[in-house]
Amino acid sequence: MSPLNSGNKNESKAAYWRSLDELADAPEFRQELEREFHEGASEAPDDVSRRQFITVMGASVALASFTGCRRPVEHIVPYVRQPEEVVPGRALNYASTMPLGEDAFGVLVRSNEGRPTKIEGNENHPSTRAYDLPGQNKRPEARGAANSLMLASVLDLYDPDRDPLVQRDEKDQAPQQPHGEEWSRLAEVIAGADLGTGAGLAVLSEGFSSPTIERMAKRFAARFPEARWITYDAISNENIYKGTEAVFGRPLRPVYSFDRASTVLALDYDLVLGESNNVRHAADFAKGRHVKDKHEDEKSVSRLYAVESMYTLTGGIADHRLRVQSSQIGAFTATIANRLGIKADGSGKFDQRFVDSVIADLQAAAAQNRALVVAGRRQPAAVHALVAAINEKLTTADSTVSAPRTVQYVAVEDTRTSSTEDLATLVADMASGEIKSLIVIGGDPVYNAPGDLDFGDALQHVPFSICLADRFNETSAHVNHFLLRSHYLESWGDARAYDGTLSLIQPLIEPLYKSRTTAEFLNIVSTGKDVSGYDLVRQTWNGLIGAIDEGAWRRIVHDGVHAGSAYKTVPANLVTRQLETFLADNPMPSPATGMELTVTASNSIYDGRYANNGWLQELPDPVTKVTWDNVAAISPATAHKLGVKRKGQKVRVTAGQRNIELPALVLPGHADDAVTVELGYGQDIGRVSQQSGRNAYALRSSQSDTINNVSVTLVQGTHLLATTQDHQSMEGRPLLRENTLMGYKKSAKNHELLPAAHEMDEDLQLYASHNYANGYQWGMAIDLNLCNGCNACAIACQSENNIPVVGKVQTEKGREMAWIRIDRYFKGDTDDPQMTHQPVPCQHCENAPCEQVCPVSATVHDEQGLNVMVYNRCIGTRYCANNCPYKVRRFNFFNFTKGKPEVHKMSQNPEVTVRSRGVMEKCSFCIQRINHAKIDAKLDDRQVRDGEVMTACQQACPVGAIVFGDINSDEEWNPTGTRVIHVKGSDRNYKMLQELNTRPRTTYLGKIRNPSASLAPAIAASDDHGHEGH
Amino acid sequence: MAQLFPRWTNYVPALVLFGMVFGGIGTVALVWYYGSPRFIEVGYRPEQPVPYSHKLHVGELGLDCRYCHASVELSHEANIPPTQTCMNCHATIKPKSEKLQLVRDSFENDTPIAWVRVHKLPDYAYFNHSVHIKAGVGCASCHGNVGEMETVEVKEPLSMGWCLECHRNPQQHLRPQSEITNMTWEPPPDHAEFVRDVMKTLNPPQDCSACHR
Repeated sequence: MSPLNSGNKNESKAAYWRSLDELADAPEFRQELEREFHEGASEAPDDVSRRQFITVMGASVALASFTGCRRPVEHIVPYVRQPEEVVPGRALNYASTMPLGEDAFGVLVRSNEGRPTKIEGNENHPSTRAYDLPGQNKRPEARGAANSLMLASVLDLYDPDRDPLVQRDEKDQAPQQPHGEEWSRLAEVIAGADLGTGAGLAVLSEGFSSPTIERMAKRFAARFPEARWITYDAISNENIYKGTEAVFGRPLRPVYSFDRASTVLALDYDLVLGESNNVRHAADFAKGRHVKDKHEDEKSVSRLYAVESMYTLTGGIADHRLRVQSSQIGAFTATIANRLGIKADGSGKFDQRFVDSVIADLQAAAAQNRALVVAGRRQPAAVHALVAAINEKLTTADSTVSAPRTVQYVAVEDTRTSSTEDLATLVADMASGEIKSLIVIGGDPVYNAPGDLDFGDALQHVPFSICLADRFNETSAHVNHFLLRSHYLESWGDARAYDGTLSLIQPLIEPLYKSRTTAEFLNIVSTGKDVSGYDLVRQTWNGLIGAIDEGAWRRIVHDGVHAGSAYKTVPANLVTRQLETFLADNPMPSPATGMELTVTASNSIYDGRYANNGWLQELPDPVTKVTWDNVAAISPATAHKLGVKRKGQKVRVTAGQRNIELPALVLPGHADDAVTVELGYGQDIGRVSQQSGRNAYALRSSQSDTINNVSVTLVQGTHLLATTQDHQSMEGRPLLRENTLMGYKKSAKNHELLPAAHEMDEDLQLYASHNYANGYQWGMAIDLNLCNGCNACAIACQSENNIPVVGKVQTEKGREMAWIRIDRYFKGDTDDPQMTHQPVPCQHCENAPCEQVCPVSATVHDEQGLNVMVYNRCIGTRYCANNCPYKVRRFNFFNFTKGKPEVHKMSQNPEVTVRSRGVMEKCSFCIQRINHAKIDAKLDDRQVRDGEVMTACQQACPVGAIVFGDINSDEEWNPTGTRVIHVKGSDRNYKMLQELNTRPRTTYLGKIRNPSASLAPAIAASDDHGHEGH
Repeated sequence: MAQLFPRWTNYVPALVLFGMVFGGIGTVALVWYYGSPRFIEVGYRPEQPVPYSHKLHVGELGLDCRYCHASVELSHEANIPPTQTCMNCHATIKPKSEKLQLVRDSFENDTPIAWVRVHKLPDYAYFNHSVHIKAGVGCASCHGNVGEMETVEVKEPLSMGWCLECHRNPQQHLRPQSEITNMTWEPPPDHAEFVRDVMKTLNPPQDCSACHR
């Protein structure tokens, strides 16, 4: 290695590290890194021995040669009567809405020949409007954004486990006993159950926010007046409503404007993934965070303080982060409240300088109505009550300030919110025999009820039970009658968005299996009539917005939303006396003595309802980078105390009588004496979900998500953990560069982003260069300042480009196929580091190292500057992957798509080749989208417009961190420039590994943090270091 | 010692060598010719479920291709017409014909007709009809004179080499938009001038990424 490179390496090594192993530079880690492939990467999967393999291959070769004798006859089956809007071969997009508990996200669904294949955000929907960097000359039209759950929900539609009637054994294809019920029998079953007026009948429903379901619930209540209705969700905003009820006299929902806040204090609140309305919140936050150039006004860039136990993405984008145990959040909130003049009890010692800085910033921002304090849904009601009071305090009384408030309150309608207390009462009544019949709508209470309630046991005492579920799950297995619920992509329905906007759900396809929606189900139960969802929705909407003509209705169906139907904001009249009595009755949680356990929604599979989704299971957790598992996350100090030395060592977490054994994961930045476990894993039923993790609901208490005094002990054994973070290591070169806002404003040149990189003479060329002067030249810019690491791009890419799921064992061997990986970097102290994310797709180098080593020219350049992968030429030498300094190439060690259930094929994008065994693949800059746009432009006799081609990752990104377009700045070709040219012109623009002279087409914009001057920021310390190194 | 082998065996090595060389060349030549798309693909003429005659409809009656294959200018696909399209005429023309029984059944019972694909490209080649029409490539350039075919057959090899030949030198395949569906079009004397004009803006891509994704 040249002295230039090694110097670089040492310099940055101190600053950034990807994992504790890398930091320690353990010999095992080096050995693993320096291997050409991961251990066992060139061996066949466990269940196929070499002998078997040869047998199978021999047979298939013989078969292949037989089939070669005859030409396969292929049929074309056209429509009988072709619908008017259908042009075969052209995809159509339909607006719809994805309901998720009380949330509703606007989606735009692409339909290829009648199959929904790809989800995008709906730009007309308030919950999914993306933020985009303002361009120099023009802004693209509004863009819809999405989160990973929305993007992956299309795969759930094609979940083979949904088939309720026939479950085939994979091997012998013999039909098994059907475990689902015929819908036609439902009315009969209900009549036979003799439910009377509903005495002894209870409905346990998941939370929803839908006018039609609410209307049907009322119809149900009218038919069975004595029946009880209980709502339960494992993850809900229950505590927030309780808190606002305490201070405002009625339960109100806070609606935040992160874009208007200049100081945000997040108390255990993950605005990126964990909470309601997260797409909009992330986009809004990015808007307040955008740094245009050096001349950016300091006051226009917001500052984020995060106080949390588990490291979340919000902690990663925060300017200052304080790690405290979850149970201390209350005390911290009380400290802040006291300093602002609100009386609240709560003791705790916190870094005085941190508190001072928070108070100073909050008060300065409050003068302009630009302060915002938010608390996570896990926190108890008392914290939420206090936060509401703090926010009122921080709202200026000065009538000359015209800025609207950063938090507004609305009263929700058509919404049922979870109540864990009600569930506890229900379980007690079920066990005592008071409940004679139970109807479970959605959810999976046998699996996800808090462990101290033992719902499954109580269910056995209920003589008659029906369950309406999204697939055959644990609850379905324990009830008398299981019925399948329609997926939102195959049903009519409606929902209210977080801000109350009426949103419409329209089907893209007939139900794949015989299934009904919640509203249709309730209607059958109440009236015995099977009325279509469409009629139910139309009737509801006639009542909601009055009788409208067909044109207006079509407009709503087209847009997916009824514009202007958001809830009216409610004036917030704080009842101080009530707050005081409430706080007296509900004191802040006392700080944990001993070990504290927090259970939290999974960043990948939410509360477990998406656990059967392979894309989400294989999606690395953005913080821990673990796939296919949940872990007990602990801090390095706690690990030391417990004696955890290696990744995946098992620990037993015991809370009261219940315990589970989990692999431990040492997570730098986690609070000490605390352990965090993700929910949603360890299901017993489901061909994907049962392969992963342990069920943490067993530990959960119906009282609180944080349990004090748990015991965590090291037990024998190690669990295989598939973490992707150490895969594709880039050897600690200065890949990620950043600066503080102050440092950036002062810096003279862009290379004062830190750590420093070496400039390279751009004209050095070994081979004759391609000519990139003419026509479309595609390029990408990724703004690290906006990126928060939310993983939406990774799932968008997986869905668009038919990227296979490889499974846990293969992932562990480093064979994951993701075309865009999101690197997580830590920086600084191992106990309390800073975390930054960096998405890395193929960089499309103009001087591509991969191309020079391919013996068969399977990877070549085209005239648009794309580094093209030609699957048919590839013979699988893997030289290219070895020579790629960015480690973005992925190899098909097996035919990962083969053997997938037949229905799975429907989810695939027909515009992209499904790759076979033995070929290399990588990001193509969504070449299919480029070609489509070019052809469309050609048919219209024009040039491709700026913003017309969006890569899948760009389109999904809520914060507009990815900008793609034509970088040909020739005046005749692009007279007004393009957004990507403009963005790349930023003085924060840098090329990754510039010194290698690869000339990547993908460039990065350095991250800017905005630390408070009063808190000596960690990054300022390394500032000097960087200069010395340079 | 007597000779073990008769004298003629001296020629065996030469013969074997000769056989190997020419046998090898012969094998290559055979595979080259008989394995090529020009031999395998061209002339493929499957029987269709309905004996639809392009010769009658196009050649004699003069139906425009786009009456049935309506999406050819809009989409990558030149669609096979829905049964509705047949019934537009055959509801009144020859409504009792035996040959059309399947079409009538399809229309009445709402069951689609499974036509047999004639022109097949591999799944990894993403050919787009609309852009070729736009560029001025006539239907007959790739499909031959369909107006003379009783049953449609493959006339060109549809191989990658064949595609690239035209992408490199498209001149002789370009024609005015008005003649796209003309099956018997011949270049007029001033064709060279027309081509020169068109080629100013036409730049057929020869990169892998043009057709493979």
